Amino acid sequence: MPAQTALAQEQAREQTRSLFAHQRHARFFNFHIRMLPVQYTTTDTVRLAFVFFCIAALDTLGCLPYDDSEEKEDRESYGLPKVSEEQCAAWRDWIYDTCLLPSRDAFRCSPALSTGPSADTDTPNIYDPGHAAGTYFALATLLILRDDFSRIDRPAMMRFLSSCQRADGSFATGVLLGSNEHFGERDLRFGYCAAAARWIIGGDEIPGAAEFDLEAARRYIVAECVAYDGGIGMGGFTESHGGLSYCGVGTLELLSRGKTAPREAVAEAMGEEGLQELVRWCLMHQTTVADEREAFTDEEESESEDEDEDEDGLSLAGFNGRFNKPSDTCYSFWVGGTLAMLPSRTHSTTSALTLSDVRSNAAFLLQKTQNTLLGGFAKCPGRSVQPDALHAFFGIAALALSADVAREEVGVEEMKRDEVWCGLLGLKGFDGALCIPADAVRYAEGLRRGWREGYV
Amino acid sequence: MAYLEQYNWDDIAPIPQNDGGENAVAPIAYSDEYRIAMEYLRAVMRVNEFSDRALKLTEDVIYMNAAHYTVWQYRTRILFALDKDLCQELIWVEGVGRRFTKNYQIWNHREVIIEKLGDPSRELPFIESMLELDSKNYHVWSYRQWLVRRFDLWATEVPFTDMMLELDVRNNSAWNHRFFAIFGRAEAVLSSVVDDEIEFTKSAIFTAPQNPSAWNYLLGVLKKSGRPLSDLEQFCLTLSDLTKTFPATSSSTTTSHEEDILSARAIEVLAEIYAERNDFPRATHAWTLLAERYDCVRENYWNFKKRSAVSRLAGCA
Repeated sequence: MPAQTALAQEQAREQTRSLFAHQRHARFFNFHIRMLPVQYTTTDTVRLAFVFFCIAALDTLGCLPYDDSEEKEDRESYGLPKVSEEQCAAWRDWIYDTCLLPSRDAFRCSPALSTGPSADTDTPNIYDPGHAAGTYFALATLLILRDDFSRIDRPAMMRFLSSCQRADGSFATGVLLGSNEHFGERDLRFGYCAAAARWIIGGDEIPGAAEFDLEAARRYIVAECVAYDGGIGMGGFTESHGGLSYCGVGTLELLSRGKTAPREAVAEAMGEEGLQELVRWCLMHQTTVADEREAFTDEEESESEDEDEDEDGLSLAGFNGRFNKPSDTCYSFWVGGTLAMLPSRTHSTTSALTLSDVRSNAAFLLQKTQNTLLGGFAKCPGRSVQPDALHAFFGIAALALSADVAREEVGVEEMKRDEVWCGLLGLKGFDGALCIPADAVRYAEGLRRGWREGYV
Repeated sequence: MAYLEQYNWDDIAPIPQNDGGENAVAPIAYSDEYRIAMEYLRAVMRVNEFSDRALKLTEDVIYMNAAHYTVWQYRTRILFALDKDLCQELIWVEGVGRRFTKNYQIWNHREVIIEKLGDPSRELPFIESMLELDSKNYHVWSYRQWLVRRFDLWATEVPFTDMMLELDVRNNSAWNHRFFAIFGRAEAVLSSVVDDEIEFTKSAIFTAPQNPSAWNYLLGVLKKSGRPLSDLEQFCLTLSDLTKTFPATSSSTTTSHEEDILSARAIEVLAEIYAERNDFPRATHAWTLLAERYDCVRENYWNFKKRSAVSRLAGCA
């Protein structure tokens, strides 16, 4: 082959058209962090979740000034707008000023709850209690923003988080102030948030601090919530569900993080049979359009002309959250993230996510729910479905997890020549359990080391 | 803004939201109506006022944001303190439920009210009307489970799932509810009941051979009642006759005998049955069919099953 032709081919490969609209997504989140449109009113009291979605997405896209990841150089060439250090400091201050309770032991989930005219004159109010999810979202966001948590009373926060646990091992949203009344639903979301918050503040290593009933927490998940089909639901005999499976497995993982090899604790808690059934359950939620066409009656089907391959022959398969439901962007993360926390079998160091078809999943998100004009991702395919900040964040998180698998299994050089993968090389490595970029987790490990040594 | 029109609020100083001024992060472009209602809500919550005007205000706020995480607790306390008609409350909540079908808090609230009333008679018809809007609504099915347990309403439940599955045999929520209705009670399940369930599910699978919900239910019933998987061998062969393609010839995995394969799930169960009896050639053949032909999206998984079986075999030797 003449050298010139080989060179031309090489150049053509390097210009493989990326399907990932990196710049548009950066713009989408830069817009939303300045203003959420009026339809977000129904999410007003979980505002911190949306603050987290925006900031975590910007970080995963490489738009924050903190970047300690190995793939840093891949991203430099994107010419992305960078958020300034000052801006990040202002975001940190805002979270503390508007959402940390005066007792410094917990966060509310939104400034909308505070009944004090300003943070200084804020006095405790029954209806403005600490919120387990608000606390997780605040801490995870602050971690991304490289906060040192010096404004928090960590032992008191462990008291708060422990007080959310019910006698059966499950966790409530919080406790109404001035009473012992737990409020919130009895499901696994708040246990996950409490377990993540505990790890982030090093609560498992504070001498003499309050601690969860760890055995009860694990027992509740494994003995109560595992359904007959191997997935996890919100309680005994409830239907298995992708989001709840994520929360259950995430809780098991985070309660033992650092104490065992990665994924070992989950395998141990679930048992070999339980593990195999859950892995199968997750994988069975990856669905092709043909599966969906069989499953739905005509009126439910969104786009009858959909095929399992797009016009370029790309194979497409997203995830649903329950059997016989349509694929939904966020379940690419909930189910994919669950698989990322599970070993393919006990003692295996390989994540079960490698057993799924990560490329078809990424292609589904890129071709079917990504909005290349406005940026962001919609919940499901269909021209009339608008992107929203929640699905946009989980779409990016799912793609980051997929890209991590591809880096291992496919290799960076091969990824550069693949239209599905090439654009995803610019995403930061991602921690499926804490749901934040991996370099922020490394920063947290440093904080934990500092606290540990400080106490010795 | 019924709360403003119907009541006098002159003595109340609304509390504006502290949103950090110009530094607000991801601020929501509130409507004036919502912003003002929230300012009054903060003011009455701050002093824990139990009054008709506060009750009306919670109503307006809930209509704009039913997911507010403490407004329901506040409302419940007002209702109980003022000794309000709880049946009236149930009727009101029904409207809210229909409007915000994805909301969690409504069902919690309803539980508290029903617990206080001690009368579940409105509930089953309401639940059914909600399932007409969305037959897979997770909150509604969970609430139904609570209700059945709390008031011992087991008798209606299996026939109810008969009806729901008749409407949609792929409704996973209905299958799950059936499992609850049969195995969720304290007493032991009769062997004849298990037989009936197995037959019922097999015939459902014949109408939709790929339906994962029915397959999972069948496998779940078998496991729960301690019956061996091999009980299903003949049934699976009826749906996917692998005997004709085994031993595999060069063309048999890809082209011929298409008409004998109705269900990938049947192939999967056969593979498990073969693996359990250490018939690895047959198991491997089944996994290969799944990986290459009938369930390609899970190709990595079926290949993993093959590798696991090989290493298990090596471990035994």
